[in-house]
Amino acid sequence: MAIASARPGTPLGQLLLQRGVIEQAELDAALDMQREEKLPLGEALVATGTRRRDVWKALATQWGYRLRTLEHQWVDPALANELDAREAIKHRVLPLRRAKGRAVVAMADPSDRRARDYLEAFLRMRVVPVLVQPDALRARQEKVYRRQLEQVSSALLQSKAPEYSAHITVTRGQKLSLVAFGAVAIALIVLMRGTFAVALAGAIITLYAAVVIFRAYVTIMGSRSEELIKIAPEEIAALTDLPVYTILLPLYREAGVLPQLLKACREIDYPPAKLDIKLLLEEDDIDTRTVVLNTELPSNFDVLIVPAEGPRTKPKACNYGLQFARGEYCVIFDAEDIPAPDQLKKALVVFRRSGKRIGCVQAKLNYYNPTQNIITKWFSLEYTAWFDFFLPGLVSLRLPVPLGGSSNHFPTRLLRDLGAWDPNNVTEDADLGMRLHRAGYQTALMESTTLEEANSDFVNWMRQRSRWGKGYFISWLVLMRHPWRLFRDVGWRGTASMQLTLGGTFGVALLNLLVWTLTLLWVLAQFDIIGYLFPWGIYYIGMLELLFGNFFFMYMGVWAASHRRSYDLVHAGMLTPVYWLMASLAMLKAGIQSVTKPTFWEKTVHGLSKSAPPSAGAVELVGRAAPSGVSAGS
Amino acid sequence: MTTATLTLPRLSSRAAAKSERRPRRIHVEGFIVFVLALAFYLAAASYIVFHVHFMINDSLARIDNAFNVLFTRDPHLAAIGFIWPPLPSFLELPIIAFKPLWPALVTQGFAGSIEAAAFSAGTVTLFNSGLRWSGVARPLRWSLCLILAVNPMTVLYAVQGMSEAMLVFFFAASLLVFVRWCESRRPVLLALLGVIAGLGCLTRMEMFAMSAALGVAIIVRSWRAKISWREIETNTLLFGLPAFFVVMLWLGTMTIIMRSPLYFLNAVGSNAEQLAASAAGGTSYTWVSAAGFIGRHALLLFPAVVPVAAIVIVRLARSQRRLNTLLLLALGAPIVLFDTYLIHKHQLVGAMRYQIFVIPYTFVLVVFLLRGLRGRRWLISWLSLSLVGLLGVSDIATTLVLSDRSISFQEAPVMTALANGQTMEQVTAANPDFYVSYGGAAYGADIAQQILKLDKDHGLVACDSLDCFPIVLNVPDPHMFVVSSDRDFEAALGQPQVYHVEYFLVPNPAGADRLLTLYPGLYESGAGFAQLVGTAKSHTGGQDWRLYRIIGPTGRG
Repeated sequence: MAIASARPGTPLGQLLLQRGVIEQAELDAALDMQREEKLPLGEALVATGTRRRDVWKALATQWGYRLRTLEHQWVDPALANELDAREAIKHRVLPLRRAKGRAVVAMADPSDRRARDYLEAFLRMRVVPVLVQPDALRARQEKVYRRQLEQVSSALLQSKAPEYSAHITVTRGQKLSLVAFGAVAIALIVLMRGTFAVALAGAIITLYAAVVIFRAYVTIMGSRSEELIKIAPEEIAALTDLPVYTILLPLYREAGVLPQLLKACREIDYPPAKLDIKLLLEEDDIDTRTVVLNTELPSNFDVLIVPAEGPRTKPKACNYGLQFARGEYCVIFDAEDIPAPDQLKKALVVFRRSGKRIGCVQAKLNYYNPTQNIITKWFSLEYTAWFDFFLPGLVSLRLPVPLGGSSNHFPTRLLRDLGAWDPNNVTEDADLGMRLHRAGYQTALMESTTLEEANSDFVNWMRQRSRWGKGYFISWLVLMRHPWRLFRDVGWRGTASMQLTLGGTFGVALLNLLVWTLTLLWVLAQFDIIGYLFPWGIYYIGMLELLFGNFFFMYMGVWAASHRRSYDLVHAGMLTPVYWLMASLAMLKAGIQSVTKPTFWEKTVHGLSKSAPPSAGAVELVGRAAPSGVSAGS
Repeated sequence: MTTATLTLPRLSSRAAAKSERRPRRIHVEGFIVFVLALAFYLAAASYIVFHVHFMINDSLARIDNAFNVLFTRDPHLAAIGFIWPPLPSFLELPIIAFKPLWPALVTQGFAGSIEAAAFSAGTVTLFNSGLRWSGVARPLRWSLCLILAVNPMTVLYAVQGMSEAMLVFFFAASLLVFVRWCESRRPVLLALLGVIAGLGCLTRMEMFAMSAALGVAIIVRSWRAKISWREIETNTLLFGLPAFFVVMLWLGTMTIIMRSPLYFLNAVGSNAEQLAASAAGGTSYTWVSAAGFIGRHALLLFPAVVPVAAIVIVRLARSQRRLNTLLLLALGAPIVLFDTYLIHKHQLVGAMRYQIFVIPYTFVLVVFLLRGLRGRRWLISWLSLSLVGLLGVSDIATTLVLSDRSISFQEAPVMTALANGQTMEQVTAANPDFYVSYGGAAYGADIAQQILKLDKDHGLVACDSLDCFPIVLNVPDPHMFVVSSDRDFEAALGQPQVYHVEYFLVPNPAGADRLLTLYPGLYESGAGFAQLVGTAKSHTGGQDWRLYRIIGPTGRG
């Protein structure tokens, strides 16, 4: 038999040809890929469709090892856990047991000198390698290091920089400050009586004015700015030495969107062999796990099961996946996302062009079902205004950018160094954006869109929106633990921006209910108490804010529709005040939950869209930005 | 409390500093042009206001509207008054706030001069930007801007607070932005156009017509671009919503405060009311004669409009941008038509200043014409040089027309004063038949001094702001006056004792004075409840005033 006749050192391709596993044409294709992508031939073969087991069997022959399975191997947990889980994953090793003063170690590549040196230095004994398949090794690592992995994904930030973690919602100092403020307020009420109430009304109007002016200013700056980084096709074509890119895909009770997800991943324009796709499933999500188990996944997919312990949040799942990430860069996509195919390459161009100062490249988010109903219309307009105007405005003004929940690309190492996502924060994206800024990094926005599914169900929308509101509020509380330190870190502009973006967004949406009710009562009944609370100076400013603020943001809806050429949404744009009322109700819920269930992750259900999602190739064409500076002729 | 363990990495300071470097955003040339133009206009304003003493009374009335909001005994925003579109007075508010530091801002109406100078400088800057967009070389575009800046009509209305400077700014801005939108069709330009149109409507009634015409032009341009009707609708909304919002805000405010959305049309003291009062002796205009009047005045004021428009029309035949050209030419008509209607209806006096729009319109045509030649540098330069000559000659024509009192009855006196180095008092003394709609500052100061002497106990004086505003502006303590904008004004007139009003101040001739309407005979005899304290007459002319002490019940209330 050919296998028996093969000797160690025989080239891998020849071995596989001898065994009839591949044809010459397949080998040629893999060799081409190897040359182009600078990959090991084994990985190129797997990427071109050869079964991983066949490749590793051949490699075993080539290296002179016997390929072993890990299923029946006993693993000494004490020995294994002497090693840091992340190092074990990085080097693709798993210490199995001690034998005669040596460590028997399962390895995916026994010829990896660096891994062996590391092991021998760390364990202080010789290593006896046992060749195993990398996927089997990874699966076993997940089990053996479960506790370590869970610990790191739940508490990395907490242990690294507890002051930035939301594991405590309100610190003792904040509680004391709150009590002190309360006491001062009571004293002022007693001493000043009505004047205090008027001052409070004035403070509310001032906060309102600050938030409205800030939002309007940043939005206008964003609509005028050139901060969206545009990448020419030539720049993408000129890319060489593509690094491994990790895609984190957290899924929870989303079995239904799996086919769409697979399709979107297949359409990504990046060498499959250099894509490291982590499907992050929750341990207790049996339905999704079953569907995934029964689905034939491409070879670059890696299914990880996040332990059902500690915080049950998306950032915790992402942290879990990050520990297995092999990529130099990583990106997070939601399950229902359809990114533009060239998005990864564009992000890479931005990173290479901008150097170390860029900590994150954010793509624009928008929706593929904007016209499903009035809620999706409003939501789409809001997203357009946010990603096409507001965030570019923040970038152009060099202010901290609250990241979107998906399509943000990071250098993996930086992300790990920063403590990754805060698993206790339900808007981990926004929080991470703030931490990036505090650490001196900038967020870049690139001209690439990821389409998501707009929430079309009111209750579902309320869940999502209240979660965002709660997260913003908690992120603001985290920032406000040490206002002076924040000021020192980011200066007055950054501090003010963080206050207005996080605290202001939450606070104003919440106060809207109060202010609108007071306005309505004033118009209908002209209660004297309202007149007393709002003397003419405050009244005029408040009225101007009400009129100009509401008009401005309503107009932004129309503008957003025009900008994305989504003309069907224009009428909805003119009805956005109803949407703000919904948002205010959601913020009320968020305010209550911030006290009762601060880390509870209200799951957004996906798969409610009635229209078929577009193909990834069509993403850039959906709601393409209006041309600028182009003569239309007559 | 948890101890801080801040171990997160930080970007090196050098990289961070590099990242902070940002491209310069200020357009330096535009800024320089604006500052130079502003300095020129402010210098001219100082000379014309403080030396020549020229300030049209309506400018002072606008100052008074703003003054009432901040300095009278009942300061409130609604005191801005709604007889005229309110934006000029609104924008004067932050300037007159400095009155305690520099009273001349109010007493001489210089706050209006500052506002007008800023808008006129803005207009010059707009044209500089437009000419740069058209590819005109800097020496030539600065020459063209200089011609606009020193045009006597432009200067006269850049130095005192009438609304002409603002009208010119919004009119020019709307046309320039429209031209740019026609070319690029960028939505942001429609939004900008909408804001300009809305603010224009808050400045002058003519801009209502202009805004409506712009709306139609946008629809036509969109329709011809063969886009979906949804996109046409969106374009129209992008333009129309800001304009509609601003106008609705104004009309809504008038409805709430004045109980009439069209208060400005029929209020006491409005243009219509004042002109109706003088209609009997005025000239009657048919539609044709009204249009002819405006056309003739416009051509006389800035004759260059004819050759420039002719060149544009000639280019039209060969242009790829026929529709844009036609629309721009058509947009010269709305203000003409609107003014024709008003003159025909006796709601507008036939003054030369209403034709000031012809100057910026000509310059917009110039920008458009040169833009059409972009890429042909020599042709642009040659044509620009020719236009410098043509427009320069037109400036001379403007000077001559403004000096002719048979055509420019409002401007001729000041032109005479400027030509002879005289003050307005000297000019009017030498020419008693000159139209006098200025001198309110000197007159107000004169009367105010006399009233202060008569009101020895500093008692509260009620008067109708329609006529007494120059007096109120010139007293050190305006709280001694109960004026029309005070919310208790009507009540105080009915029951003066209840409101501690000791005096009524009434003019002669009466006009539409509210006190004399309520109490006929008050000026002559005190109407049975008031005793004459004294009469104030100004050596500068104008109305005589009588101060009456209230000694009995008025019989009202």
